[in-house]
Amino acid sequence: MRARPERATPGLALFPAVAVAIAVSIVAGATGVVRADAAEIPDPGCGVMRVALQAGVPLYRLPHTFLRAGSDTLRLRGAVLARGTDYVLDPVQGELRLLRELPAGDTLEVRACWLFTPPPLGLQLMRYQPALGGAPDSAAVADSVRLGAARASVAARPATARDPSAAPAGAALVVSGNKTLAVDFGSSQDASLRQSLDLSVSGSLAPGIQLTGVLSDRNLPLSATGTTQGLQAFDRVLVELSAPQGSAALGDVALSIQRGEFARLDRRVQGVRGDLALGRFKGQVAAANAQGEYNRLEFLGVEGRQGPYVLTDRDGGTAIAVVAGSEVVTVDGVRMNRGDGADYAMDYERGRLTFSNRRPISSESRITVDYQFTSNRYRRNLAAVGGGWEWSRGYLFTQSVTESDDRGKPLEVTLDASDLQALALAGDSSGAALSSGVSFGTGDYDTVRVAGVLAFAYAGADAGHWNLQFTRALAGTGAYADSALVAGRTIYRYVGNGNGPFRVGRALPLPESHQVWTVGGGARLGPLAIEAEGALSRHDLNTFSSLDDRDNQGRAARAGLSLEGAPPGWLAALAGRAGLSVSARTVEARFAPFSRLEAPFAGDDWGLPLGGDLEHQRRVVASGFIRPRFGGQLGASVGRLETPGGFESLRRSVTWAREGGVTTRALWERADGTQRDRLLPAGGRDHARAELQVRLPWLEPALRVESDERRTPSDTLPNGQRFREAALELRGPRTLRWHTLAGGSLRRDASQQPGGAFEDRTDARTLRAGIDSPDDGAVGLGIAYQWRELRTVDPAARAGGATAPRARSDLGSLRVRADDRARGLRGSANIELTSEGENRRARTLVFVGGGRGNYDAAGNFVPSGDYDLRSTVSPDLERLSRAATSAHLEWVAPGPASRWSGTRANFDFESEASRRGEPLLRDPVIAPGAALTDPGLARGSVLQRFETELLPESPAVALRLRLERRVSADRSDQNYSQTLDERQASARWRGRAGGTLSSEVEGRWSRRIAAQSLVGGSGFGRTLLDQGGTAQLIYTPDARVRAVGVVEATWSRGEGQSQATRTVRLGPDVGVALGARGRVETTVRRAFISGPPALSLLPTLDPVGAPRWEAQTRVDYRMHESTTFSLSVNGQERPGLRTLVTGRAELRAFF
Amino acid sequence: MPILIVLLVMLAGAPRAHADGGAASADAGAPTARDSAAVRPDSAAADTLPMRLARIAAMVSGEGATRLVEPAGVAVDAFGRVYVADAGLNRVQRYDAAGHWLGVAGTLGSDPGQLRRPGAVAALGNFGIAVLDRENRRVVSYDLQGRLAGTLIDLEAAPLSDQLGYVDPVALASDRGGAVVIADADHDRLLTFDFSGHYVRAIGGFGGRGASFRSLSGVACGPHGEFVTSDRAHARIQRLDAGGRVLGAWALVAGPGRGALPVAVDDAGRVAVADEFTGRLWLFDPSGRLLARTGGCAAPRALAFAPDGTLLVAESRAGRVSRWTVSAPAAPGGHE
Repeated sequence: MRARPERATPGLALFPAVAVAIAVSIVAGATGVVRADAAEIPDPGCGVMRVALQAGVPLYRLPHTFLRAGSDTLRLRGAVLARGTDYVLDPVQGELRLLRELPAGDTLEVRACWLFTPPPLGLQLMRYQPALGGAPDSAAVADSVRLGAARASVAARPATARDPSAAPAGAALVVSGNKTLAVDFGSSQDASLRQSLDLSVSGSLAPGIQLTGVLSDRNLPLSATGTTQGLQAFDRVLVELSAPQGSAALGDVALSIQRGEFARLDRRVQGVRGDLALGRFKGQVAAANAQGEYNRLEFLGVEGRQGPYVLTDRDGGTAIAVVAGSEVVTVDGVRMNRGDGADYAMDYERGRLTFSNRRPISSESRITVDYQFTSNRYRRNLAAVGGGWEWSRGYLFTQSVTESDDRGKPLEVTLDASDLQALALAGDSSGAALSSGVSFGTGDYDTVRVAGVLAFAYAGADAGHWNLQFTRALAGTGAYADSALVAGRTIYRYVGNGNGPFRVGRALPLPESHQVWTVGGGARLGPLAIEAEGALSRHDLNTFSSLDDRDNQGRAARAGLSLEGAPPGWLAALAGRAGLSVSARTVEARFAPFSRLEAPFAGDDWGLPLGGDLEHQRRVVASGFIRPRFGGQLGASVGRLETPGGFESLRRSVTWAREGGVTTRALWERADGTQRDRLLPAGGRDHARAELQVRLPWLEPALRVESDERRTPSDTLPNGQRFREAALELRGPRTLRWHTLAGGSLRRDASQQPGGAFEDRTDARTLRAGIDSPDDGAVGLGIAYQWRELRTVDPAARAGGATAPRARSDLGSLRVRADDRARGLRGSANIELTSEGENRRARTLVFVGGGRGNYDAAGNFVPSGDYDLRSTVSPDLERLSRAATSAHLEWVAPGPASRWSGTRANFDFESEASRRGEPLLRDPVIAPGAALTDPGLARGSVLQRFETELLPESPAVALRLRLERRVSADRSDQNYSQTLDERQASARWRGRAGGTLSSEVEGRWSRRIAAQSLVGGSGFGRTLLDQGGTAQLIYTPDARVRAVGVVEATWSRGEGQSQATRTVRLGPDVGVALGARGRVETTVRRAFISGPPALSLLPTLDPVGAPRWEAQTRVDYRMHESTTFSLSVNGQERPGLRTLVTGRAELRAFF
Repeated sequence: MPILIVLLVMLAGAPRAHADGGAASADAGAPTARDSAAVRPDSAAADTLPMRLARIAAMVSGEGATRLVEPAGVAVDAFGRVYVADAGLNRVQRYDAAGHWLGVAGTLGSDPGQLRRPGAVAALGNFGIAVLDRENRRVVSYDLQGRLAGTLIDLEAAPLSDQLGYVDPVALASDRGGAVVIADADHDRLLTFDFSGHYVRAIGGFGGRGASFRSLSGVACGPHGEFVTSDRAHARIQRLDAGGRVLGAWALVAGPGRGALPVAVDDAGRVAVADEFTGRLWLFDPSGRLLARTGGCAAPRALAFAPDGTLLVAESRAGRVSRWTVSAPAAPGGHE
């Protein structure tokens, strides 16, 4: 027991009180200061502190520290709160933590006593600065005289800490986190330091101002003083501050500027962002490091291929990494959600996009991806500032965004004087920004004379005198072509000046600078509304060069006028509301916005060819609408478009929509475009769509028909596409909790023929069905399935009786759940079907050195060969149909708690099959034999597990039996396969589970088969049989001691071997408490091995089998309530090998 | 070797109370529901308890992409964003502090980015989320934007599988430093890993007394790195320090069966426990004193405290995550 001195000796405890009383009496009698009513004088060290409660804030800092223990009383509306239940108080820090939610806005009354002059909470060292020689500071002297000598002497002392009572009211911050320091050491490694810091700050800075900040630091090497230097040295930091007037964020933040149309920006940046709202003014400011360069891709999907779709940089390069979270993906104009279970998944490292089965992709899917790819040229900075004023009749805004490369900080190159000169002379041409790329010394090339011209020729790896770099050249300026790949390096050969795509030289990165400023506003006067916006941009593609700067600046403007209200006169009897509007927009060819101005595939509406420039344009659109009294809205518009590329178009459209029990929608639009400089200049679009939905009590049918014909200008043959589609959908009524859906569509795609007529090319049939049950019942069911077949319509083949080629893509998911608690039964099953694209792969034999591989030159597996297999990836994609299944069935003994509680049996089944081509019906529930042998499966895996546990909660005995089979096959490579078949069984008996002495015995059996085969080679195969068991005797007299004696025995042999490797391991596991704060644990194993050497299932260079001696010791000691030190040492000893010792010393502190 | 054991037992010294205020039962052998009926938490009437648990909202439930079918794990980051693992849909969903859907990750399968019946979720330091991918027997990590960071722990990969044998991971927790602990129901032990996913040690094991477990069902980390565990066969909650030493233990009236006994600990050290089988929910103070009790949860499988002090409960049968407040009864008791 801990000593409690205040109660140990009452006589001694009374002595100070008596002494103080006597002393007070003496002083009172002598001075007459203490009167009879002295008890009524309030104690200046006690009082009431009032705390204004805030919503969601559990911690408050009181204005006083060093509160007297037990003196606190908290009241809320007169009711007393309970310490330890309603709140806890840190008396030293003066921090109050509420343990339950109290009504925000109320005032909490805290009555307590505290130290009248508390010592400082922190240590602040002040450097002594002796007075300079010469005359003293006259002002200081004057103050000293005026305030008196005593005050002057106090003022002369350095302050040691701030006054705690001056803490700002309402400031309550919670700081929590962890610091870990660990040193790893070992006999075969150098000591290494691992450290981490996680810090979290949250709370209220002042009433209404909330702060949340987190910081994380991992594995940073420590400086000599043991601290990390500077905030930028930390791995990650994120701070969010919110206040009634605005908010601010620091770290990895999203920057979104959406005012107007010409300076929109949507980026994910690392920096700071602030938003301010003062009355009618709203402003935003941001400064950041841009994490990459912006790009947009628009493309059509590939029939039945969910992905991957490769994203590129602006020049079409594929080796890019996408800034995580920067992408915006749309399909047919609908924005997608990221996530494998949502619409798409993104491989940011490789810039690959794959759609999930929730979003089927076909050849008609119009996909748009806006994204940022990481820049490797210069450090790039971004700043934005903007503000707007809004009032009842209008608004005004302006904003400016600048993004520039820091040309003094190239990222992956070092620029010397000649490089800078080359950049200065390159203008805006990246092809002209080249350095020499030639250095004399050991290299791969030598000089030769070719037709009198001095050229470079490959001489062999490091066999020449010139070290060269090659780069892609502008058309007609190259002299070299890439000819071969030697030891991973591309070799170039001379093909004559102007004849090759490459030239000698090193491409230099051009630093860019980009600014956009915009101003706009709008006003509303009754039914009349007007708005306008103007913008200026400046985009310099090479800030090192003043050449080509004449086209850096561009302008854009737009204006609109609209009239909307109740129609006058006799029209009011027909329509409740009507409107007219006219808008105009002009964007110069030199104007450079930060993001696209037009919606994805907006060019289709005007008949512009795919990939045509719609960003720069002159456009006038007039439109109107009318809302009849009986409901719905009828609209019409007409517009004219001109682009700098010479495209002109006139577009007309009429729309109708009426929602209700009978919903009707219709659209007709027509565009006639002309590209002046094309031989076939005519283009355009004819689009019509009609929809009918009826909401019946028992069914909601919907019918849609659509026809869309697009024609684009061309120089060769007429270019046009057309589709016609009819779709029917039957949906269950929305009032039902079970949701059902069935539908189908028929679509025919046609292309324009040389004669101008359209001819059908493909015929797509799609069937869909789905059912979804409520989630809170005993049975849950969810099915979604789409069957789609695409047939190629070839008139010539059809005339000859040939079967049209087909492509099928099935997507689906099944979810079933059932729960019968009365019988203790529970089951669930999930199936997902999807189709994917995957790069073709193959294995090739590669020479790796004498005896360092596992294959000979003919591809035969040998224990010690000169060759090994390497995987090569082809850019070609193959289509895979994937089915994944997960099913579980469980029975648990029902009834009240008893000896049989927890008795259970469960069966788990999991499978996954990726099949080349179309899926088969059996793929969702594939058999282990099929996974091992079916050559059509690129990958297959099956897991079957049965497990039962009897009497697990019985104090006397508990049994567990497990049977498991696990099969996997990988044939992803065209010429190589690897299969694994494991069967395992184990039975465990536990005795006297609730006693001081308990025991456990487990028997195991396994059969494992592995095979590898290479087409043309002999392959590899091995079967291992293992059997054995473990026995444990567990002694736990109380919580301080746990001692276990363990014996393990294993017999292992390869199939066909007569003798088994016999291994017996035994030793103790002991854990003992060290005093009140520590614990030590020791594990020792000694292995006795006999028979032939142990085998591994697959070839490995690592030691196989148990070590002869193995030991681990670990000590944990709680140095403080929140600080723990631990030391662990592991040792392994194998015959013929060095004893391996590893360990770790770790200090962990929580705060 | 027996001499060594005896020596270590002697080194352990006499039982003594420690400074943390842990229950005295820590050194006397942890109580169970069967041998310590005096502290049965259900013996007190709910209205005599000092606090009250009240469901204020079904924070997360919805249709379509935002829908939950079988929530089996829930965690909250420092900004109040909620991460929910759905074992029925094999995915992890993100919501902001107000319950608005933010995103989703995962689909059925065993490849990177795929999940099979995900279970517990835990905040991994300040910038990560760890998800227990139960049937794939691994722990995968995501950043706060829901992007897959990788496989943090693979329990089936050698040499970890050789060292640990078969593992049945039923629960997962992480402390403030990102160290991860997994509850292994097959061997009734805690497996601890450092913030980078390297295996550190096993704590406990099969047994009847303190620092041992039977039918280990839940684990949570306290503010100072301590562990709070629940095991169904013993119907017991234990508080262990980071070294595995028992700080306190108290009994629980858990229902029969094999369902989860999820545990959560807040910054003040209060312990929330739920029983998936009976739908009960308890709140204890750090020493095991019952503060509040309620029922009616639809198979609660995971708990998490939010930064504002509310408790999130993943109710797997109802397909929702509900938010509960901890408040006092109408007339709070107190002291002068």
